[in-house]
Amino acid sequence: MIHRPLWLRVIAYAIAILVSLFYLYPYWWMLLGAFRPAEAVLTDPLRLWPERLDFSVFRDIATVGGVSIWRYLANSVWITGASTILSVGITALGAYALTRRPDLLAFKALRSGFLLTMMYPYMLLVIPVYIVMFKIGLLGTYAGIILFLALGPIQFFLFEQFFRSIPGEVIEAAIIDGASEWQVLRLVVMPVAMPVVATVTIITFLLNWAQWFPILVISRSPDTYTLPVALLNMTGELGVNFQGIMALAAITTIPATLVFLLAQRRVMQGMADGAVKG
Amino acid sequence: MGAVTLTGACKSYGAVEVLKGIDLEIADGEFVALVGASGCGKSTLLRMIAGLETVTAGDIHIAGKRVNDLPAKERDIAMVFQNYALYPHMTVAENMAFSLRLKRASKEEQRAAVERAAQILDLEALLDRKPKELSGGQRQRVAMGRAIVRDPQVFLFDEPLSNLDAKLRVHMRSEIKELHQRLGTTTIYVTHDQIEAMTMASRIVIMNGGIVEQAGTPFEVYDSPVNMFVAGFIGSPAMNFLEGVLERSETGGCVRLPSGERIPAVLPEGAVPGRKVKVGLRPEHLTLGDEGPEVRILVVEPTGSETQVTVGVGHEKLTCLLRERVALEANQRARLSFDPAHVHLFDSETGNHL
Repeated sequence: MIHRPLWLRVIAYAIAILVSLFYLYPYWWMLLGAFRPAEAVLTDPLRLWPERLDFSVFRDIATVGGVSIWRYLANSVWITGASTILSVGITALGAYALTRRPDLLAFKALRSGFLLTMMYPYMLLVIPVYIVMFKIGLLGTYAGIILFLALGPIQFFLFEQFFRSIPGEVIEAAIIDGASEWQVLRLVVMPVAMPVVATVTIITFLLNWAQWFPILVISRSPDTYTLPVALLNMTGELGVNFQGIMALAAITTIPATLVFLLAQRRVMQGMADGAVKG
Repeated sequence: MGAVTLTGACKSYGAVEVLKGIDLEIADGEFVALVGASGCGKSTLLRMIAGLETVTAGDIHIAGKRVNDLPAKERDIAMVFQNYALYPHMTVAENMAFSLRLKRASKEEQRAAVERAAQILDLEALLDRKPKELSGGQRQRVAMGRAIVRDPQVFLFDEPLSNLDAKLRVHMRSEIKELHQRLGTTTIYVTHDQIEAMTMASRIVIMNGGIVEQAGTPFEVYDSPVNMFVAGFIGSPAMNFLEGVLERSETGGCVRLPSGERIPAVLPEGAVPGRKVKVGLRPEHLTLGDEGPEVRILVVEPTGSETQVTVGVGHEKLTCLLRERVALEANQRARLSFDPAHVHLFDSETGNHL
């Protein structure tokens, strides 16, 4: 290990801390805003500590748009959880099939189709999805929202990339050893792919937790809204309830932050393991 | 038992014909090496026997049973790959027992088979390790262990030593040979290294451009190559080729080189004087002495046990491999001598041995 002089390390740490604070400050400001009355925020916006803790806002946001905040939270957990599991399952299987048998009919076209959805503006994608959801009667249902969020070209390509990196001989060795296609996937490929599964799961969870536009489009009433949609809904309804918005923003952000903090170690570990090829 | 028979085996990818009707009989317990340059189709042929590639035309029989349409797992073969192909998340023992686990063999049975294979390959101390904790040679032994555990009719090796360093390669070469002598299982071994093929196999199949050029024992293909390709492929350093014209002489026959020098040779029956030929001389059959055509020393490369000398005859270059230590220097003159019985003559157009 190279031993750098103390002064160099002090400067490096100082820069790192400064940059971190720069990114953390908006979050701290959001948290402060949740506990400070709007007038106090407007008169002294840069204050680093609240004058007093004001919990009154949590009464204000107990219901948003006539629906309990607990409902939004439950929706967020259910929609994000289900769509993440579905997304990981479907894209992993799809990417595996495409990597194993790229010669099968229409597989190449399917892959290009996935690529196209990444290039196509997301907002425009929602219009045909709305029409399709309407035609198949899934508009305003959880199933409709979950299905839409489970479509993940990014997840698909992450899996595909990984499956391509597994040497074909390992799979062939398993086939000669007597494994069926399903056993190859279950006993050889998936255990090796666990770090990628973890990474994709976390990425999907974080993406879907923050999702609002398609949910707003597919929903027919606030009953199927998630926390970010409720947050968006607050602006119009209560004028600018600054404190309320900050409080709901904090509630929306905290679970995602926790998931990331808990999982990041495992993801990093997974990536490091993956880098050292067996 | 584990005899393998190929009858007119062909393989095409679209319009590209990779294998053009391979006929080959491999007896039970034989060690056959498929050897040839990259792209000659040897690996494809092995993969067809393994069931990893379909057979476009012709038949493959293993132990008397036609296996063309049989999936790999039902062919009773085991394969060792160039890059080992170990399952990275399993321990050595789990890697070796995987096929038995899939067969739902009892834990006791699995353990016994793994222990037996580990003992043969000296892997007992490594059974709990993961592949990434092993060296290249150890990984290759595990891959072999995995094959042994299956107790197959036929072992298939696809360039198993190519990823190892030179020293380890020599060591593993003798280990594989010893393993074959011990188990007596039919073995088909693909390699591009003719030394590997010569030292290990009881029979060598030399392939080129999707066909079998010659199949025979190591000495047969070395002593009596059927054509220039085989003659040039087998032997290291490779055989020297010179152009010339057949002539009769008092002692029997000779070949006149374009430079005017004459090389004594045993003329084959029916050889017509004046016929254009290619002369093949193995470097190890050449010596530098007081008699024979005059040559100019170009490069001297001593390796310790032997000395490789490149000499010039007219506009051609020849390589000589001398067993004894010689005090030669570049640009010196010397005379090239050899036993006429060791001179190979090939048709200059077809390349076939005369």
